[in-house]
Amino acid sequence: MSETEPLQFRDPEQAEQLADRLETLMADIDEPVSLMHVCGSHEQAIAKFGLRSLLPDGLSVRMGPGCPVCVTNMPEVDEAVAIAEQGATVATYGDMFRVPGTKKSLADARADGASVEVVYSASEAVELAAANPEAEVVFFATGFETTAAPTAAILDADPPSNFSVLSAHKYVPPAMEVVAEMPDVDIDGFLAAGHAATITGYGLFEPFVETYELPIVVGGFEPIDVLLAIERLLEYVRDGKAGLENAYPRCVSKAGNEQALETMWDVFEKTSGEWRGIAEIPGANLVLRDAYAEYDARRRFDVEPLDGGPDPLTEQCICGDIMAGKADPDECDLFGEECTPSNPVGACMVSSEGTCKIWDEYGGHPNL
Amino acid sequence: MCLGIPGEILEIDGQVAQAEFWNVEKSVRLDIVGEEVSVGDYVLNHAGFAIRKIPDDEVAETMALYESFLSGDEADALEEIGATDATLEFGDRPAARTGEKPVASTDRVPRGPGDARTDPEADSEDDV
Repeated sequence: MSETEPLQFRDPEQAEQLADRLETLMADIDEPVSLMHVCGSHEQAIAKFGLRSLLPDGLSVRMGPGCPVCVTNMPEVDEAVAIAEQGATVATYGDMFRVPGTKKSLADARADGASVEVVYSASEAVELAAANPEAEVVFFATGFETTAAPTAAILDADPPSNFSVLSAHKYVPPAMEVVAEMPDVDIDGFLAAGHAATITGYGLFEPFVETYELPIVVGGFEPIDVLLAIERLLEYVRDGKAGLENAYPRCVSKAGNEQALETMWDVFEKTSGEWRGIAEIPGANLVLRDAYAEYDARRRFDVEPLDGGPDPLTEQCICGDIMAGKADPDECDLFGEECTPSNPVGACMVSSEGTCKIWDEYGGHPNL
Repeated sequence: MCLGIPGEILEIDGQVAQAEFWNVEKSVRLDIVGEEVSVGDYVLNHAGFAIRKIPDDEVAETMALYESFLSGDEADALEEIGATDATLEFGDRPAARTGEKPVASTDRVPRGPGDARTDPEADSEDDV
């Protein structure tokens, strides 16, 4: 494609040209290639527009740990439930409401009489606290960089004293390193998430590319965006090179949103933590710095870990393997049977960013 | 989806702006937008926060792109701006860049107790 030709993001002719280009590249490479995306919105675009049906034989695009709701660990949900059961009002994003904890979800806690509110933004949680000064309002804060920066912003804006944050925020780049190092995960390149890179910039992937000698291309979410990013990745694979490229320049810069990053790192620091079903990942959980201790729900409430293991059904859930790119949802015995959007076993079936929910929505294996 | 939705700034009061998304008006925080924004600018909204000012020369392209994308996915767009009980109205957006101000809808988004958006049983799927 000509570099000066404007992209029409749904132009079938351009999609066909790109599909032909992928065929040519795969013929040159002449061996299977496995790429990984790390964003639920990429999986949605791929499923919704049937992009897997355009991929040549031998090319697979796997899901990675790209859904923040899905990677929120059960004990983190347990903490939120326990705090709600102590009488505080827990406010959280809609996606988190029905995610199962070890014993119950926040929805279950609410049904049992606890105060749980769904909010659309971090600032709504603060407004809830301001409007209810007699209540302790705890914002169960989840998500990657795009929501961590807003959470940081509200803590920087002097919220009321009855407000605190239970941070389950996650930071994606270290998780990509862990997945890249998994011996049974064989990935030839990463399709990085365009919106997270709007905040972080794409420059932060430079050390990763150098260390792991894998290509990374930042991609947008239109069908042509996704195909173009895959095409760029295959060129690197064909040439046997690592490299970093931004295929989403209309939103992403190298430095990112520096004010958002400054606010985020002013409030949060990285710590080691378990990503649900995947691994303990160094530096991939975001916790409040000491300077913000007064707003840290973990310091304000005394929450003991729950005794006993999770529901036996949960142990059959393969969400971890799915998010590490080792399995597809239809390889799970529970998929569409015991585990459905209305009665989810694993977090991947709850969130609109979750691979199982997306596959369920598009009728199973979304090739067409 | 975590796409972020573009909207036009109508009013600014400190760090809070009123922005219009295809005739639906919503509050957007400006704390982390990273640039000076003024009335008439377009910002990318994500979960109630502007995460990027859209450069003037990209506004028309961005809006056309989103209109193409959203016309079949209003529910996704409404979730993005936290207005699941409103209705997007496409069609008059290009006027915003030719000097004619689009008229804000009276479909104001309800807030506070009783708002369907805050009812978890409404199966809200706000993104994180």
